[in-house]
Amino acid sequence: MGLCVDIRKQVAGFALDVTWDIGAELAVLFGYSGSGKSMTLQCLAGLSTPDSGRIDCDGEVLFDSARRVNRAPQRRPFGYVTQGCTLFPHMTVQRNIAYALKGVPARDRVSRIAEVVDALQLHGLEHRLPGQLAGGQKQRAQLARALVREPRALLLDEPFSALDTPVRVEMRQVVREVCERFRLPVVLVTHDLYEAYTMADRMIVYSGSGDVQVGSPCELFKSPATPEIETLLTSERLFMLE
Amino acid sequence: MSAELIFPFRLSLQVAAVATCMTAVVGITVAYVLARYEFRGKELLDLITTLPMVLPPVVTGYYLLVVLGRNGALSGALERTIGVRLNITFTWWAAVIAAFVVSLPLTVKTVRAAIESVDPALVSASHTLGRSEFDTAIHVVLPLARRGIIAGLILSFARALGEFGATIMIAGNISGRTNTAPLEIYNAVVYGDWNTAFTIVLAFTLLSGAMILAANRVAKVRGW
Repeated sequence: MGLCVDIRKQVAGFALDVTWDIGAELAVLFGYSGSGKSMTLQCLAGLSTPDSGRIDCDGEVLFDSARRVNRAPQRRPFGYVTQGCTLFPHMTVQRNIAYALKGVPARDRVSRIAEVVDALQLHGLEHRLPGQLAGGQKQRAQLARALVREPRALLLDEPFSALDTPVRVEMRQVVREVCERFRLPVVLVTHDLYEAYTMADRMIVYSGSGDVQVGSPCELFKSPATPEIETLLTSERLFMLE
Repeated sequence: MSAELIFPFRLSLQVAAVATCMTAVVGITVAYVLARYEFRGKELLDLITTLPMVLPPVVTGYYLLVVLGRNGALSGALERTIGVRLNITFTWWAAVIAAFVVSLPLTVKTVRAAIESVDPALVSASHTLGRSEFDTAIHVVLPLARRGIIAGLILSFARALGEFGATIMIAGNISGRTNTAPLEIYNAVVYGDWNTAFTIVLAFTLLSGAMILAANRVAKVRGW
């Protein structure tokens, strides 16, 4: 059970070469901007193709360069939420959520929408357009839309970084609750050290020079694998980095 | 307006309406493909759909005659292969084709720009929500580009309504059959009937002005 990632990709400026796997837990993907965190999620979601490697979810192969498997984004069982708002601006919150339910029988739709509206506390906002929502509400609506497909993992690419601090604190709680309620692996990309330490069941640290270390926040803090990772995990400067 | 002016105006409206329907189907499809895909021959497709905007309409009309004329390239090929004799020159359908070809670039350009301005993150989001490229086009991209689409079609309609050069080449100037309103202006001037010419010119000026305003209005309306 869980998500196994083993991919390599050469991009202008850096080479991504990472291997990690997680179970039904909240994994924080942490590292400097430009260390390939977002690229990893895009590769998982199928929006970007690794040069080589393998991705599988619950034993199902989604990408395998050796066997020439590369599932289209539509056929990957993930919920993907990014920092910016990707709610469709011309659809209400409810229609945005229902949009993800193609192929689901009409009578099941109502209950599935009701479940995510309840989980993300969107009551009363169903008929609003995204432009009429506050930042935190938008992110909750995006989470609801991602969850309604009953994904087998949730990929969150810095979902809070555009939010004000109080809302961000509230959203961290929301994501924790979602992780517990839906019992699925969550990969949360962040470059906020505090967020990483407080939220992670498990941390995946990208050092920026190709090293990856995986472990609980406590383990990583006590025994960082390289001096670079140690700097990354202790540096105050991090809070000020973009 | 006198009775003999009703026919040219009705014909022009009819030609422009049919041509705009064709533009809607072909123009939006071409614009979508140009905006969203990279492929060999993309530049050529762009060139072919833009040329009629730049070429003198008479030149476009000449090409149309060469392709669709009685002994034209397409007509000849159709007759040789499936035995159908294409006989549309000097009918009102020829006027429709002239209006369509000449007005197509306006829709392609406007719609392409509108589609390119749709946030690619929304397209990716739609894909990760399990929706196909076609679903995404119908439910996300085209609705978000709808102002550009409407503006483009209004401009194309106005252009089709006033088409002269290509029309006279392939549809001729047959009274009671292919004398669209712009041709009728020419006829009136040739016969020294300045009052009639002025009436049609005035009608065109007002109509075209109104359509430009409408297109601008559509492009500017705020929402979402």
